[in-house]
Amino acid sequence: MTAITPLRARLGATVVVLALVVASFASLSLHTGEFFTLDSLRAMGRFVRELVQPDLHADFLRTVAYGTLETFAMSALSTALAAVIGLLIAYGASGVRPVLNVLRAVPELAWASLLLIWVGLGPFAGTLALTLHTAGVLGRLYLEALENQPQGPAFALAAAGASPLQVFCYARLPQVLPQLLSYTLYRWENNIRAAAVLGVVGAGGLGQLLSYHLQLFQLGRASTVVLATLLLVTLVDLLSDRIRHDLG
Amino acid sequence: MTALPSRGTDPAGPGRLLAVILTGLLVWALLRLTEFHLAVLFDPTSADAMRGFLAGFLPPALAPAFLLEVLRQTWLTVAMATCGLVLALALGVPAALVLTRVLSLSALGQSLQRASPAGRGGRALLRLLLVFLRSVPELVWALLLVRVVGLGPAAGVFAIAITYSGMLAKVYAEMFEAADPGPVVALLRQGSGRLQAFAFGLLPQCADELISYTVYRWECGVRTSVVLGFVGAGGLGQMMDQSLKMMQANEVTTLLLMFVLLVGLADLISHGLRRVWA
Amino acid sequence: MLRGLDLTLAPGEQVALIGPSGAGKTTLLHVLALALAPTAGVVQFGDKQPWALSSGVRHRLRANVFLAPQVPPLPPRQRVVTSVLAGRLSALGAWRSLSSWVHPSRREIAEASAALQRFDLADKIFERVDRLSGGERQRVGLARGLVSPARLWLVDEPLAALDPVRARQAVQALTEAARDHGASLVVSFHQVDIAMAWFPRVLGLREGAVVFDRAPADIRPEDLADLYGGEGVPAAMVTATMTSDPRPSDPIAPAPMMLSASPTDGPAPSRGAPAA
Repeated sequence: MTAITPLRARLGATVVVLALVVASFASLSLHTGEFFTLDSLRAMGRFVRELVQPDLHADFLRTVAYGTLETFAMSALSTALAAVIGLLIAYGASGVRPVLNVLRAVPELAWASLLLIWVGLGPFAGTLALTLHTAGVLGRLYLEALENQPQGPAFALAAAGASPLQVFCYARLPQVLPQLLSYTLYRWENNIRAAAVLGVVGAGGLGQLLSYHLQLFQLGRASTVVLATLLLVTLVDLLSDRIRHDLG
Repeated sequence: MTALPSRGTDPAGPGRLLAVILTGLLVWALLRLTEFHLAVLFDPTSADAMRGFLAGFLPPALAPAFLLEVLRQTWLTVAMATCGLVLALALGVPAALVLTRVLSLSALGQSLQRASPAGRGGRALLRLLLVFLRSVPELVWALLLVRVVGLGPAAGVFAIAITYSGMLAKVYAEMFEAADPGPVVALLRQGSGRLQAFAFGLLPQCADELISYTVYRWECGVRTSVVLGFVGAGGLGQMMDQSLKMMQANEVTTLLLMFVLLVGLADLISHGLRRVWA
Repeated sequence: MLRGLDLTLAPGEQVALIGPSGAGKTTLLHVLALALAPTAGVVQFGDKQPWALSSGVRHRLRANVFLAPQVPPLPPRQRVVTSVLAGRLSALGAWRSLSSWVHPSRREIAEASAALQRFDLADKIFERVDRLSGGERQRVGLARGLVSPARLWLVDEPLAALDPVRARQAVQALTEAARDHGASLVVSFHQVDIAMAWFPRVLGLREGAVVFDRAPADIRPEDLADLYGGEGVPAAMVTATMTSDPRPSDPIAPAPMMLSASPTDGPAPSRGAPAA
């Protein structure tokens, strides 16, 4: 196909993309000039100065620590639940592909704001939201992995009269398990970031603390929360990397 | 029966048992921490609230004025992602070039690990900065930026630009490092400048991957910019946030449909671009 | 592509299948294993015709067959014990197969290690499959058959990854185990000498048709040269040879397995079983 890709198509695509870029900048009117007036620079300076003085009082640190733990729990539980759902889908329900696409297309934050109406403020809504979105993502990845694997082992067992469940457990699943685990871990790294921000709509965790203190202009406290987020994200990245390495 | 080997039981048994117990404890702790009570879903008051809301979902809001606004905000969402990505490229590409050791002049003629101390220190610092940029979630950047530049798409654009420049720089640098250094070194030895060496030695090798990853990032950017609206960066997210706060369920339906459509469209465009270019 | 092929197996009979690459050995084994439906002709198990039955009933019949493909079909990260026990899944319910998957019982481990013992692999029982050599993996694939309840074992080129000594051991283990289990055995080989030395009945297959079907003592060197000969013998002649050849009929036992695809016809490609 590449050999006959006409130059014209490339040129056309390039023109379209350039037009998109120009139109984007034109319609957004970012007013970058305004940011560099003396006043706004001074305001920015004040903002940054307060931000680099995190609030490290023991009481507040305890609050942040609990928020961190909650965020961690939301990401871990939702990833695990989504993995289970994804596996069930991949085993028995390849017909739900369109549902998976909808689950995937609606962002976690939108799911969270919808679920808040149902289950109220707090980490439960956030966990459910992450679970729904992640189930969509993992379900599709799992389905594809299981479909694209070599069929030899499954064929051999089916030829010996094994049931579909037995073929799944003894041939299809073990064959792709490392791949599925790796997808799941990547998704966890993604979910820890998402869990850290779901709170801005009221779904618990560090995000809730962050948006609360920002609203009160307590920048020192906000900065502590950002630091905690950074720490948590880095830790989960390292942990997930480690697990992947150990399993690989 | 033939003689049995000495090991009659599964040596992995105790380990598996321990793993099951630990997993059980962990899940219990996680359920407690996340206040996971499925019963809440079926609690009469909350279920009624949801049912009332769901009842309003259909039919979707299709008033022409509303639809027009949705389209306008959809475009803003796409524009936000596009501007964010362009700015991210402006920051990320130079950073990636600096990080690429093959392009280091001080290392020329020595082994690649032997760049000057200043060069190495600078690169380590830059790398750290980039990790910081991409590890703070986009939404947190947006929340902070909204305080600085006010409500509106600018906060979203900069949030995307900041996070994505960190990601782009990292991934680009990895691609450059994975390429064959031969052509670059040859050019540098002839005395050509770094940019020339990059353009003629490195770029042709990685062009396809670069384009493919950049287009993919744009696709992610569209998703992200939807989300950023929830904290006041404009676009579809902000509309959805407002409709939810006003409990306008039928508007939410329209917006959700638009999300799905937009994500699907971005997916299509990105596939198309990758096919034509890469 | 198989054609003009008529084959009857007695219970406990041991048959070697030889012939050049592409002769249809694998296809024949797959048809016998009910893994491939013949486009024409009949497969018969005892008095049943599997392809005339519903797919559920047919699938239960598959418990009577064990097929060991040429490439051992073992997921890389599975442990040997699980891979071997997978051979008897058709005899287990859903619950038992799940519990054995998570934690094989003492009895199951004993059973698996007895099967592995025959192939000199008992010490590898808790290894992961991808840590084994190619030859070891192939023997694990064979040990799987020993735990299966099947009464017909179909083995496709079991010796490809084995050195000569191991190959001899493996054939001996396989034939002995089949005798002990009272199972019929059909093995395809590239090694003509092994086939002739160990099997009372050797089937020469070429271009999808049977060239000879005799005891090794009755196979002349010319037959082998003909089987593997470079100048392609016309298919029509091969079929003619086959149909005029007195096939050793087996009056002693009722046949548990019968395969017949247009027995006395000339070459009729459209009526043969398709290649996999």
